[in-house]
This record gives sequence, structure tokens and C-alpha cells, in this order.
Amino acid sequence: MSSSKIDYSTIYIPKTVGEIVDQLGSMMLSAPQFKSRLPWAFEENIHSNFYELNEGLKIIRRQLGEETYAQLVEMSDMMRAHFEADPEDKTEDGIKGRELIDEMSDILLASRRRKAPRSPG
Amino acid sequence: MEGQINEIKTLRMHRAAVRYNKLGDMGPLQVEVLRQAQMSTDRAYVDGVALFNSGRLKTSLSRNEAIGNYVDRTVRKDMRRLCGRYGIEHGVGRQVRVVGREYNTSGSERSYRIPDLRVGRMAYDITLERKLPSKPQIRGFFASDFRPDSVAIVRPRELDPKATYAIKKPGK
Repeated sequence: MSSSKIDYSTIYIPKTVGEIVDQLGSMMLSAPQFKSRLPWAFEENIHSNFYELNEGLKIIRRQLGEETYAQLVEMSDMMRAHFEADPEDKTEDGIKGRELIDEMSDILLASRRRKAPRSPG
Repeated sequence: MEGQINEIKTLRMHRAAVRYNKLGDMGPLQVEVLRQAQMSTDRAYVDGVALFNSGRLKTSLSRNEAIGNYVDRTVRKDMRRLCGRYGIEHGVGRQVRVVGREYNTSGSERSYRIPDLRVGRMAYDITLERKLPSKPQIRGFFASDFRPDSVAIVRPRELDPKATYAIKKPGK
């Protein structure tokens, strides 16, 4: 599926650290093809998922600080490269991509803990 | 045939979103959100189990904790996307919320709980485990200021065809 099939005007962009952590959690399960779980309403693929992730990181850029933001963008790019290299989820690339998801989530949660205490479920 | 069914589902979702946005009518939206959350939960669970069983989900958590954690996060994302797609107004101060603090200000100290979803006076909890009304989390939902009439416990149907159920407010 090409990126041109995605309607970017209605796409969902995560706006907080928690929403980006949820985005990454969702990507863990849908990688490496990133097909939608709600098929009748949404087009979704690797382009839309990384667009959402990277646009979300831009929104919280100031909150993260430049160094952390740059680190996360680099990790996002590496993750995408791993998943693109393993579209059938058969090689080490799929595992490395998912390890990056966990590492990014840890960095984001650590950045939030620096701001506020953890909340109960 | 599947295309027609999907079209009907889409129309039903559109109708529910419009009735909420224009008329403030929660009923149809509560039902449609439950349908969508159930579908998302089912699919995320199947994906999570397959990933775990293939050894491609590296985790220090137990099987259920790991899968449940990712199912939660996936459904939250899907529900935010659902709201965006159908123009459903949600967030702080709205009747629809995806993961938001619901305060209980009735006591001397303010406390809060965080339902995965809320539509009007219905809270939704995405979970793998069965939960009883006596569980502190569920009691906490009922005690919060938005006074839910019921809490929907949304679980993967792969676990049990009757996995999902509603807990009514005590005394209702």
C-alpha cells in the first residue's frame, strides 16, 4: 500500500507522552506491516504509523528537550529501517525494531517521571 | 457481503457520532464504542499471543501482563483514532474521554481513577482478567464524580465468548 492512499487530514496525531507511549505499544503488535485492526474505517500502514509517531514527537519536542528529541527521532528512523528490512517478520530485524519500541517507551516514560509522579490505573 | 456489513457498521458509527456531537445523545455512541473497543481488543489480543508464542516479544513480565499491557495501549490508540476519524469531541471536560483522570472529590482528600474509556456515564475497562464489583478499581470508578451507571469490562473473546460484561452501579 502506498502512502498516497492515506487520508492525512483525518489522521490521529498523539499529543502527549502517554499518547505516544500508547502509539508505540500499538506498533509493537502491528509491526512490521502495521495493518489496521478496524478495517472498515481506516487505512493504516507503515507510512501512517511513522507519520503519527514522528509528528507526535514534534508536538512534545520542547517538553523532551533537544537532545532527547533528537535521540528519539534517530531511534524512530532506525526502527522503521529494521521493519522495512523484515516485512515478513522472520529475521532479527523485526526483533531489533521491537527492542527499539521498548527503548523509546522507556525514555519517554522516564521523561514524564522527571515532570510528575506516576498516576494510579 | 462483508463489504455491505462493513458499510452498515460505518453508517451506524456515523449516526452515533452525529447524535452525540449534535444532540448530546450518549446511548448509540456507548454501544458503538463498545463494539469498536471489542473488535480492537480481540485483534490486539490475537496479535499479542502470536507475537509472544513466536518468541518475538521480549519481556521480563509474565505472559498475561505483557500481552495485556500491549492490548491496553493498542486499544487506547485505536479509540483515539476512532474519535478523530468520526469527529467525536473528546478530552478534558467532555463526555467522551480516552484515558483521563476521573476525580472523586467527595472525601476530604481528592483522589482519582483512570478508566481506559468513558462515554457519558459509562466507563470501559480493557483487561484480560475478570473483575468483580468489589475490586477497588471498580469501586473507585463508581465513586468518581461522573457517577457512572455501569462499567463495561471489555476482554478478548478468544478467552471466552462471554468474556465481556457490564457491572451495574450498586443499587441500580
